[in-house]
Amino acid sequence: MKGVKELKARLKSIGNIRKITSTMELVAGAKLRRLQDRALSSRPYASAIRKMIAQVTRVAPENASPLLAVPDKIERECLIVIAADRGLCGAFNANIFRKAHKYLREREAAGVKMEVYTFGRRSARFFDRVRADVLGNCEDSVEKIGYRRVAGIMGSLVDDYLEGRIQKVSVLYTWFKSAVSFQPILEPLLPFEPEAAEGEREGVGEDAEAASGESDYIMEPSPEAILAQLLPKSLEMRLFAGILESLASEYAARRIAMKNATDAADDMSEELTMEYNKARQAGITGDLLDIVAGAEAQAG
Amino acid sequence: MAEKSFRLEIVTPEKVVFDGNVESVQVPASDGFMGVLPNHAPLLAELRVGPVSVKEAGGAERLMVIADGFLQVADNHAKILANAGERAEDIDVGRAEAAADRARALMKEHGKLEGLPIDMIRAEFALQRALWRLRIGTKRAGR
Repeated sequence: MKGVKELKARLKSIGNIRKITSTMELVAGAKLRRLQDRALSSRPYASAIRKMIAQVTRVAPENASPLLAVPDKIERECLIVIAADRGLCGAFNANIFRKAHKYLREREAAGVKMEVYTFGRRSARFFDRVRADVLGNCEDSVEKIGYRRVAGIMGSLVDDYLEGRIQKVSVLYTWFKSAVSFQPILEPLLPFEPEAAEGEREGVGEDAEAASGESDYIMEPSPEAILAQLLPKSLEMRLFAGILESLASEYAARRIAMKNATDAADDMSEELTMEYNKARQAGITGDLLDIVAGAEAQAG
Repeated sequence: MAEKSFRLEIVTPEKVVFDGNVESVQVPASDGFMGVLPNHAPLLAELRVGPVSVKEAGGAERLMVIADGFLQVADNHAKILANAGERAEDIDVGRAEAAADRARALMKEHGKLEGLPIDMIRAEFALQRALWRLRIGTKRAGR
């Protein structure tokens, strides 16, 4: 049995850690609510733009936009990986990186030269460590990235694509299903696939149904002109939405991780308190025995 | 079947600005203002910066400003997708004025340098947006 003193010190340090983790849990919970709202309120726009594209591409002549053309051969591909700035959020970052790493290997095995564009400091650090070919890092903190910054980055990737430097662009982020469930998702961005827009995400049905309506639209000024505006906008929005989803997931993951840590601290301090009380009791019993033995010796 | 009103949604990446039944709506299309009434033929149009005026089903008029986007009309359901949008009553006139001044200063600077066309376009765009917000914001205040 450990000494009473050591047990007391451990109990205190566990109590302190518990204080920290439970505060972090609360903070993450509050942030999660805000970020969840942000992620969810961006969805109507994203889905509306997707439906619009599906309709325009149906009537637009083939090759209406170079972004729709499928390249003959993919030599270079850019993978955008969105992760967190910080850790302490369970397996959140690890899950994304595992999936990224696997995809990179698969593609390289297929003879494609892979480049990475990172969002989030953890992401930048990881790909630096595994010596991936990094095309660029978005150095802003993920939480503070504005739409315009994202649009700029997407714009430069689109330029790279149009100039033929890369033939494919995909994005990997964590999709926020709910406060307790989120999963890494790989979504193709370029070449633009108007129909299969949601990638691996569930709930694509509503889009397909809505797009099958009337198709004899009046296009002002012309399908080509609308596509020229609509496609880049949709790409920007998808990247931005990916960041919002990832942020909401990150805080959900952090909240859960911190809750687990707090619970674990509770369990541990309960066990240690028990042990501490036992040790204390044993001490008192020992002292009593000494006194009684001493008294008896004197009387005898 | 002739409906008297139709559903209008105005959506931006950040939020849904408006969602309700309206009798008519006027939007800034890329080549001039355009009005939409109930039972309009299916339409897709490019929009630029400008005011959106809405006559709600109850008869109330409403003003909004949008920046760049698209309008889609089908089956008495109109949808405006805009980069940004604000209701007249939410416009902060002071902030819009500051934005206009900033944009003007930027344009002046670039006017001399004669380079960086993208910054110039951006400044001009910001100015346009700020001016529309101002115009609509003060209109509401003067009422």
